[in-house]
Parts: sequence; structure tokens; C-alpha cells
Amino acid sequence: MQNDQPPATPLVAPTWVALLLSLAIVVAYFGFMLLVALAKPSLGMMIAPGISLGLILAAAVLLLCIVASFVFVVMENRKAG
Amino acid sequence: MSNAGLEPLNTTTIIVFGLFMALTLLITLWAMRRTRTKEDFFAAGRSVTAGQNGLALAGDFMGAATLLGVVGLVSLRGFDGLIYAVGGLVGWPILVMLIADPMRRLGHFTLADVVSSHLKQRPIRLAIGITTLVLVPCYLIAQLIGAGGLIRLIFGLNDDVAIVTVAAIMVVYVFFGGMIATTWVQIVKAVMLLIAGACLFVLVIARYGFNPIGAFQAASARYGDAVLAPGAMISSPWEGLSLAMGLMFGLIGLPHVVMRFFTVPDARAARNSVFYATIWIGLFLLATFVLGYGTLAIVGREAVAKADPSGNMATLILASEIGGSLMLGFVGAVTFATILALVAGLTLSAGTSVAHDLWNGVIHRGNASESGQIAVARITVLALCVVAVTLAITLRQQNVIFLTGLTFAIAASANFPALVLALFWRGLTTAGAVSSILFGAVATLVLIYGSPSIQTDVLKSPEDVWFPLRNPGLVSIPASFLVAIVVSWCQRAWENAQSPNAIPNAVDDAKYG
Repeated sequence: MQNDQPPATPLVAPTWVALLLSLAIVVAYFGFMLLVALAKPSLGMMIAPGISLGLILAAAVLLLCIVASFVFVVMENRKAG
Repeated sequence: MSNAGLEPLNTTTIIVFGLFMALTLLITLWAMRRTRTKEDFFAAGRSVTAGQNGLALAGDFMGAATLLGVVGLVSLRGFDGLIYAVGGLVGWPILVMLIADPMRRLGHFTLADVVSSHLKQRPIRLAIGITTLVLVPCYLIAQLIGAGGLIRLIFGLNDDVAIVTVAAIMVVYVFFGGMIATTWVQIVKAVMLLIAGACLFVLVIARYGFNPIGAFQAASARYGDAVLAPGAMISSPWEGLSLAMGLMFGLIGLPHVVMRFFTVPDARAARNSVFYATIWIGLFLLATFVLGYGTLAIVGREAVAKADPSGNMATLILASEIGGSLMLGFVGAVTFATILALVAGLTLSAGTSVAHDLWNGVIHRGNASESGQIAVARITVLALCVVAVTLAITLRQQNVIFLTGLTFAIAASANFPALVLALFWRGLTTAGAVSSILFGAVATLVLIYGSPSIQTDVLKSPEDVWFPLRNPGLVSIPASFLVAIVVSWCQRAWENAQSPNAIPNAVDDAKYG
């Protein structure tokens, strides 16, 4: 823990990749929640035996999170070296 | 509550259980020998790799709430339980993409370090110390309830006794091992939890020709297609948004998650470790889809509710049903050990916060002795146990993932706004941060108290509800941001009025003033 404060370090701005992917996740997740609240019958629509639209969307949000993280980390690591 | 659906207390279960507890204690003893300095105690000597830290992060997160609570909620309410499963992952990519690097550059041990890095240390450390002391018992309560129910199921002990036993064992961990024990213990537990989840997953889908969809089909065959559609849990868009905000942003406001960043050597490793954690948690959560519906199909809603109306024991009943006492002992031990490790990590985070932020930073202005700090950390751990155990006994009937969601709402309101503003807004002042943090914590608690969650579910007096949402995030999070911004502006305006010629500077002269 330093006792001498160096000059204020520049605040780091997120990269455009980070902002874009974050926005995608926020939109997907909040969109999903709004569908759950407002479009229950649609989400209950059966796509195949045992699979509802809601189930697919729920899994899709999870997968989006994983993929987005992967893309981001690969790109950032390539940059930083 | 009966042990309906389970074989009576038997030796195999207890032996398997005992083996795991022995293993855990061995690791703690190993860590004991490695703990020397405060640095070792608090941050694992910075010797952990990204892959290891990722596993530890995942292990930290996937506690009772995930395995027991989500599966339990799905087995009782169908699709509605999945909402918590989805919500459990969404904070992580935001964490890695927007928060990890900036935070890494600024701080050393704790959330307070990061928030106060450009501001006055003492008030912020005090504020965050207080909210940590609120958050940790809340989180602990869910874990203790899960562990208590588990012990009751396997050993036939009284719920309350089980809860107290868990707390006592956990205190031993923290006292003797510190962060190294909890980091390595978390890693071992994460691996075991993933293995247990995988075993359950395989055993469930084996019943349906190794087709995961079979679980969903069987559930809808038994209870109708309605279980695959949203139910009554999210009763309005406000309720939905509120829960969503709490779950997504709460993760970022959790002190023990923040602390794990500082156990890896550099920013790249911190980034990678969050990514690894995301994968593990994501896969685990996807598995809970199958486990939850599998329980619905194989065990049935009635049996789950009969064993425990909150659904917390669903996973264990499933284990017993598809794998007998061996699976029950294994899954029970793994779950119990995971909860133990998580609880240890949480109380350590709180102990660290109190010792580092309050005792060292605020009271002794950076000059507290190391042994003094460690002693304070230990006393804090004890005190937190007592509070958490008392509340856990009161809230025993609640589903643990639901309780965790409320805890997340507190973190999202108290710590998240200040953290985000500290990282990205030069205009944040000390007063703004402190008022936001304290307001966030208090407002969330007050709103929860006035909501159906407490008034209807716990106190059984629905006529006393004055806040309509079960989750307060929609109101408390923006309000907390607003408080930070308004108070910061006011402080700046006041400072400018005092000395109009002074150059506005985010760095205060007296770092400990």
C-alpha cells in the first residue's frame, strides 16, 4: 500500500470491443427478462417436444456471455502481447 | 420436515462424507505452514496462476445457491428457476470487459483500495467496511441455510445444530489458513463441484438415452408444457428489471470477488482468470437446466417440497434417487465442502476489510501492527458467524438462491455505483462515494424489509407491505448513483466557493486525512 500518491493516473477508458460486447449482453439479458415479464405465452411456445422458446433463449443468453468473454479476451491478449 | 424420498441414515454416506472432510482439513494444515505474513494471509503471496484463480473464482461463486438453490427452484417452479441461472452468469463478462483492467491498475487488496485510490482514504474505508459487514452476513445466511439443511438430511441432526456446526468448522479454516487456504481449498472444491455436477448430469441423461432434451421432455410429460414456460415469479416488467439489475450488477459489487483479482500477478492474468471462471460457471449453469428439470421428472415436485418447502434439498434427493447413498454422500460432501470454503472466503473478505480498511486505515492511519490486524480479522470472523447463524435460523424456510439475489441487490446498490464512478468519472468526490455507499446499503435493506419478501414470506403480514417489488434493485441502484453524483457536485461546488482560484484536483493532499 503506497503512502506517497503519484500524480493521478489516467482513468482507463474501455475499448470499443468491450463496449459493444457489453451492450450486446445487456440488451440480450434485459430483453430476455422483459420477454419473461411481458410475453409469457410466446416464451412458452413449443419449438420441439420438450423445448420451449424460453428455454432456447435462456440457453442463448448464457452462451452469448461465454462467447463474448472469449472474443474479448482473445482480442485484448493479442493487443497486449 | 421429513427425509421423504431418501434412504435412512447410513454408513456409506457418512464414510464418504468423512473422507472429504479429512481431505479438506489436510489442505488447511498444508496452508497453515505457508501462512507467515499479512501478505500471505490476505493475498496468497500473489503466486496463483490465471487458470487456478479462474477455478477459485468459479468455486467461490458456485456455492449452495447454485447447486442447491437453482435446481431446487426449477424443481418447484419450472422455468422461473432458470431466470436465476441466467442471471448468475451475466455479470461476469461485464466484469471482465469493463471492470477488470481499470480495477487492477488501481488497487491492492480490497474494494476500498480501488474506490479510494484518488480520494480520501479513511471515510471511504469506513463506509465500505460497514457495507461489507452488512453484505457478508447476508451472503452467509444463504450458505448456512443450505449447509444446515444438508446436514439435517444426511445426519438427521436438527437444522439449528447443523447451522452452528458449519459456522464453527469454518471459523477454524480462517483462523489457521487465511487466503492461501481459501484459495487452494476453493480450487479443490471447484473441481469437486464440477465433477459432482458432471456425475449428476450424466446419471440424469443416462435415463433418457444420453439425450439432455429427454429431461425436459420427461418433465413436461409429467407436469405439462407449462413448466417450460415462465410462471408467476416475475409478475411485472418492473419486477423483472429489478431482479435483472440486481443480479448483473451485484456481482461487480461483491468484495470477495474483487479481492480475487489481486491474487494473480498481472492484468492479463486477472482478465484470463475471470474468463476461465465464466466458462466453468456457464457450463455448470447450463447443467442445472438439465438437473432441475431432471429432478422435476424423476423425483417430482411434491417430494421436493415435502423434504423442504424452499426446495433447497432437491439436488440431494435427486442424487439419492439416481445414485443411491454413494452419490448422496459424495454430492453431499462436495456441496458441504464448497459451502464451507465459500463461507470461509467470505468471512475472510470481511475480516480483511475490517483489519485493513477500518483498523489499519481508519483507526491507526496506516500504522497498525501486523499481528494486530490479523487479530482484528479473526475477531470479526467470529462476530459475523454469530450474526449470520442467528439470522439463518430465522430465515430457514427461504430458497437460498432467492436470498442470494437479495444480497446481490445490496451489493449492486452499495458498492457497484461507487466502484463504477470511481473508475470512470473524475468528478466523484469523497463525500459522494461515501454517501452513495451508505445510502445504497441502507436503502436496499429498508426496501427489502418493506417488500413482500420479508413482510409476506417471513413475517406473514402482507398488509404491512409498502414496497411492491420483491427485489429492490430497480429503485435502490439508480438512487445510489444519483446520490453519488449529486453529493459530488455539491462538494465540488462548495470547494470552489471556498477557494475559487484553486485548481480542481481529484487527488486530496492528505491521503489519510
